[in-house]
Amino acid sequence: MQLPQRKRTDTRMTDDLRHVPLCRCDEVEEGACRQVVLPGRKPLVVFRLDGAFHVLDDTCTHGNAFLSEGDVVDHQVFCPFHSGAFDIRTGEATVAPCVKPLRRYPAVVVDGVVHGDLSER
Amino acid sequence: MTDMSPIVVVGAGLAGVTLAGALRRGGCTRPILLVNREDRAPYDRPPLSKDVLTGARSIAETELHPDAFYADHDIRRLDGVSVVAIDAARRTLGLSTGEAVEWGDLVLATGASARDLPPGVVDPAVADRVLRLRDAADVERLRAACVTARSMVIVGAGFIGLEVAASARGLGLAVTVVEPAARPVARGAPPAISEWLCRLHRARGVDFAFGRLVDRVEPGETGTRVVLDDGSDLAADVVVVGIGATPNDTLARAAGLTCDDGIVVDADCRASHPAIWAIGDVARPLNAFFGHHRRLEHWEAARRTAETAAAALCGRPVPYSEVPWVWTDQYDVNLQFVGTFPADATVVTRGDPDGRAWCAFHLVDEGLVGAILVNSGGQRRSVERLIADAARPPLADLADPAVPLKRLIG
Repeated sequence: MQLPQRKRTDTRMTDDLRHVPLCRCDEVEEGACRQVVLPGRKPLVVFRLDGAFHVLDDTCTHGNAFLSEGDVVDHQVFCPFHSGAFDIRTGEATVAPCVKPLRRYPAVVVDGVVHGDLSER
Repeated sequence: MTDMSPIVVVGAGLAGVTLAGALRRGGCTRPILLVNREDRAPYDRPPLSKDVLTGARSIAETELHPDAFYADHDIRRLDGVSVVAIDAARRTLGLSTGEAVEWGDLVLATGASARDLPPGVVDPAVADRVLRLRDAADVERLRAACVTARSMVIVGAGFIGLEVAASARGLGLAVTVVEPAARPVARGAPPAISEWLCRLHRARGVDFAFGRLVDRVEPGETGTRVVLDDGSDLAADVVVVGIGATPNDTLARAAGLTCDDGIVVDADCRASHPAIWAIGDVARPLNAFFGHHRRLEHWEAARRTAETAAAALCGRPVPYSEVPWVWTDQYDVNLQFVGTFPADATVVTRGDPDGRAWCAFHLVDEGLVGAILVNSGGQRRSVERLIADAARPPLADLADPAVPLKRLIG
């Protein structure tokens, strides 16, 4: 089957916020990311680093930019607006002007699909 | 013996605060004193003309660090205090409080001041309606004025003028921008980008008066009457002047430091005195990228010169080399300028200039020298690297959005 070449995945919310399917693993290239838009909430971004998946808020905590349009270098993503950066593995702001950390969500892979735990805890 | 003399930093903008943090990160254990002219925690300036002016963010939300940062890093901050004199021979400073402080090294991060209209242009009766935008107090005054104002005249179509125009349109004000040059951002942008900016602003309802100087600002029927040099006039409840800035180098000159439109410093940001350094808008550093001294008056230069001086003070100098990079946010557009834009450059466009995201690459003798990135900032780091390497990428690859610029780095 031909895979869709979109960089964005629209997915349906399920009732269980602890286990929300976000995208297929093969939709995210190694060292890259994909924006995931869920109804009723700000977009998320799924990164793939060294084979592991990381789910974070996609909107920068500084400017009104999507990090999925930024630049992934090693374990950091640089915001496309002002080149502040976050550690993808922790969400921590690493380069000014970003100061506030990015929210991170626990991720698991089940049957080739990345799931995020989006529950408020 | 380890030098434990104090490092005193004058100015708590991005440059001063970045330097203090970088010193600690670099292992410096000397006392650090940060003299902050403003009576508030250090904040980031770029949001002032955008989110802070529109009210989307408060000044407190633009603070460079939480308050605990300074205590955690043993950085002593003196807020609301300015420096009145530098004694370079005795290595002391005179403060506005009347105190004198000793320094082992002195870092001048005094910034720049907004240029005013020439004397006599503004009628004193309306002086309180003629504002500028440089620091937090300025934006507080301007925000207060915008609450009741319905019309604004902006003098100067540089970045500050255009950002204020975008914010003021967002607040519902009628906006006219008066600019002596024939186009916006005439010094920094190629003509095609100026044209594009013009279209962007006109589509949002901004009027321009190009090639015009302001002769007088005098009382008008409601607010002010702005008289231009062709005799025409504009009514404005508030006037914003954004006609550039001049480096705050008065103290440095008085102290005998070499100055030439800013404090002249070497590639380590050291001034003509061995223990005095200058960073940020006030500094004119030797930039290895250009091979000569150049004062880059923008955010990234403030950050990088701070890192440069901190590295040298920590005993691990890395000569300053910066490909100029400046950004501006107007409406929903993030526009970035990387490198230089000579008039004779060949221009290669990637993407559709009528679309949301596109780039204009500038090449001289096939080498990439500059790039304008419209909503394409994710490319910035790759572009900067290509320019620093004087890369000669294939034009077809530059023009093709499907080719990641990263792949063109040798």
